[in-house]
Amino acid sequence: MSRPLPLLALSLALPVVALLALAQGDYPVSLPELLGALAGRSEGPVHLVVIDWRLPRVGLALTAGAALGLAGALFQSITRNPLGSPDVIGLNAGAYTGALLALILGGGQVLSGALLGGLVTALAVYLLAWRGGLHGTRLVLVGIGVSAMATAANTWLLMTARLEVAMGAATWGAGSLNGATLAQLGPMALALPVLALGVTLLARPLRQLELGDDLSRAQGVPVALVRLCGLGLGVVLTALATATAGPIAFVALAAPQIGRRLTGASGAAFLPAALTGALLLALADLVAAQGLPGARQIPVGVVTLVLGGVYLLALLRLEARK
Amino acid sequence: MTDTPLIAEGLVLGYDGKTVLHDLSLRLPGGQFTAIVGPNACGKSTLLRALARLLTPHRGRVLLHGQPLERIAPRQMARQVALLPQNPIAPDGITVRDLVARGRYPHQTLLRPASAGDATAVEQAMARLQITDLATRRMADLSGGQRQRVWIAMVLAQDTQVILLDEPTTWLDIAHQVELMTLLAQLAREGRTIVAVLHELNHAFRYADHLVALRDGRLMAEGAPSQTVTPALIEAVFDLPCVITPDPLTGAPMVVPHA
Ligand SMILES: Nc1ncnc2c1ncn2[C@@H]1O[C@H](COP(=O)(O)OP(=O)(O)OP(=O)(O)O)[C@@H](O)[C@H]1O
Ligand SMILES: [Mg+2]
Repeated sequence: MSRPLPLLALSLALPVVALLALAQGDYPVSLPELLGALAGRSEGPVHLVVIDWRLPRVGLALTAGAALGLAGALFQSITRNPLGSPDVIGLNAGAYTGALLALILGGGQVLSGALLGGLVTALAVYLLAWRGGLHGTRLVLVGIGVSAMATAANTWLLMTARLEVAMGAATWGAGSLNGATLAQLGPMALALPVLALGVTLLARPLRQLELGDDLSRAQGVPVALVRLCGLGLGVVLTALATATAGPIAFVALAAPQIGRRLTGASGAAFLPAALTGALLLALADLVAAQGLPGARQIPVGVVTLVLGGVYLLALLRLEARK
Repeated sequence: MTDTPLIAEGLVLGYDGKTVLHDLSLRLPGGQFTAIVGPNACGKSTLLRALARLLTPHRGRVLLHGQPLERIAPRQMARQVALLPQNPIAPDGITVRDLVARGRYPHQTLLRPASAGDATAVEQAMARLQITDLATRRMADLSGGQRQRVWIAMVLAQDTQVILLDEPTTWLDIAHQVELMTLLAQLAREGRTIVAVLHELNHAFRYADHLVALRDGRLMAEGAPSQTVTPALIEAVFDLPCVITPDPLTGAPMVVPHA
């Protein structure tokens, strides 16, 4: 049973952070102006700043964050491992490889390159880890290996690329929401609800699967089918987020665990994971957008990477105490 | 109850080419407590998994109330037969009540997730295993024996006619073992068909109505303990020279090993 109060607090924190992110920046907007703009009653600079510039960015942070949170919960549940998240098992690195190849070889189709790279990597990890069945720990270990190989390939690709291409690729590879547009938000806003519905339909058998293959099968769960659908949804959710925002680390890794602990849920908790993911990425992007002294804007991926390091240390300490 | 809910006919099965069960035929009597005994790695868990349809036999078949297992829908099967595997996994952070409630899965659907009937079944199962006062504790914080009782409560909450248990007494102290044996015998008297893999032979002989002895995937004996247990059988199954004496309280056969 998850506690309803933290869940409510999480859901309320989202609009607060969103409004904050919409109002803050080089061109501060007052709350009445902001609400007016959102209601479609503004023009001129306020409209430009709020609707054209900041809204896509905040919207993408929330939706990509939610997608990553869900993907992380799916992968961690299926691998039965808190480290089994898409960024750890190589989907991010693979998506980056795809994007790099697209930038260097072809007409710069970064998005489709990233999508394809992520899917191919997922398939490779799946096939390499498969041995008459899927074992969580093996999947994670194979994933870490594949991730390292893809990262090595990425470094090599970056070094061989022309300077402008390499610079552009590195910016994308850091994971950034700078310059997000409404055109990017559209597909995300359409796809996320559909995928989230899929997760909702699959949630009950997926959670039952955490009891082990034998027990859940004896309780009537079609184990192989549920696992395949769960992995498929997780891969698509990751690819969607990565293709729009670049490879963002840590959110998929930490959001499910933080969400579960906050709400006191057991096993995979998909709604808390989605809410926490959205909140984490929106907060990280708020920091990224403000920049640091000396760097006017930093990629949100850098912020999440730092958070990720801190999180991993905390997780290790927690596990060590068990 | 005289029917035979589970019948295995000429089961041949194993893993990756290695045959574990060799042409095994069994009849598990309804409303009785069957104990499966045998040395380590003789195929007891494998047999239980086959009875629960987790393994497809290479040859032979298992019948549930006369129907071949492969013709029964997963949910229907799960409403009739429950299995507690040897090594179940508790999800992270789960509490006792939540885990017991997971046993209600086959009775729920997406549109009807949990009902008052589910809650009653969960509370009753916890009461029978005397873990009601642990209900809000986390599994990770319990002792091995407490956890084992939670798992058994979960299987009980599934409310099936047939219950298959793989070494349910592991981790339990002697008093709790006896308590569980009594509970299993009582469940059988209430009409359920109980099949348990047991290593404690004297408990098996005393509490079970029906005994199945395996060695190297072959059936060595089948029948009431008082009629099947002999020193020769124990030696043949376990390579253990022993004498059999009647248990002073019940007269059930009791194994006393030599040396
Ligand atoms: N998943 C598996 N893959 C391959 N071989 C297996 C598998 N499970 C069991 N075996 C093999 O099948 C044989 C029977 O195993 P099983 O688990 O049925 O023994 P058991 O009688 O339950 O033993 P124990 O008393 O130790 O639990 C063993 O030789 C074992 O190594
Ligand atoms: Mg066994």
